[in-house]
Amino acid sequence: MLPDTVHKLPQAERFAYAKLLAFMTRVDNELTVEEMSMFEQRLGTALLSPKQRDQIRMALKKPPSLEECLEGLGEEAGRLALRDAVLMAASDGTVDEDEREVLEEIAEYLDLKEDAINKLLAWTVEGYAWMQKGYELLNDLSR
Amino acid sequence: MLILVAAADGELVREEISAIEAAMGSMMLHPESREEVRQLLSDPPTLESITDGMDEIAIKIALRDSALLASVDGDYDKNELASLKKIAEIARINKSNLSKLLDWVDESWKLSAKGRRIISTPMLGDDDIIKN
Repeated sequence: MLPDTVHKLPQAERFAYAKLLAFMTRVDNELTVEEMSMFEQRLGTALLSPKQRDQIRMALKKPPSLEECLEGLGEEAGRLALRDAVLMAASDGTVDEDEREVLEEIAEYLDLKEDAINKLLAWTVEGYAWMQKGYELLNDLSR
Repeated sequence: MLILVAAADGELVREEISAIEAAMGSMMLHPESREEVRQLLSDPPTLESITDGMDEIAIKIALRDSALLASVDGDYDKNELASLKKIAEIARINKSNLSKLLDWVDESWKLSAKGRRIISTPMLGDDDIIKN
């Protein structure tokens, strides 16, 4: 539920954004509950139409190629998709080699700096620590 | 509960709807349940009707997410704050602890701004958020 800009993108861009995330879910050939929950969260943020959501869920079963996903992405949507792809890949606790390779490929396509993925991964770790702090806070909040 | 807090200031902005959809996605609600929740957007429920039957842990989690949601349009409206205080009261969370929770929510702004900086897609005001 991050304050975000994904919902401000044109609808076609939001669809392309979601398609790239659908592609990412299948990279390591396993879809964990954590990844699915993160994917559904980002899909919600994108405010897709019901028809587009169905298409994206179909893409989960039969993912498009990375090239096809990247073709439809504008610069801003692509960068947001990469950021959220990192979040999703890390949501099960590890980013495996295949996932890392794809993330690097997307970063290169978007012409981001070489250390972009490392920075995004460090930011993701910071984010998960913040979430953990939230859980601990809730446990400690009773008076 | 998220809808109740989002509607507390009398208007539902796109940021809030997006955040509600994100929360439903995160919970992996069934599509039919999501549809039921969406129906509530035009006729928000009362707080009492929601909290009846909820256990304290669930109310606390809802409070946390309501606080996140209330902040997504940039600030807390006084009616949103009043709703959060009422929920906190039901969850037996005192003022000082509610304040801690709101501080934690503020950190999400800083984190989000940092994330946008890494991918070079800043929002207006991100530099100030990161500095403070």
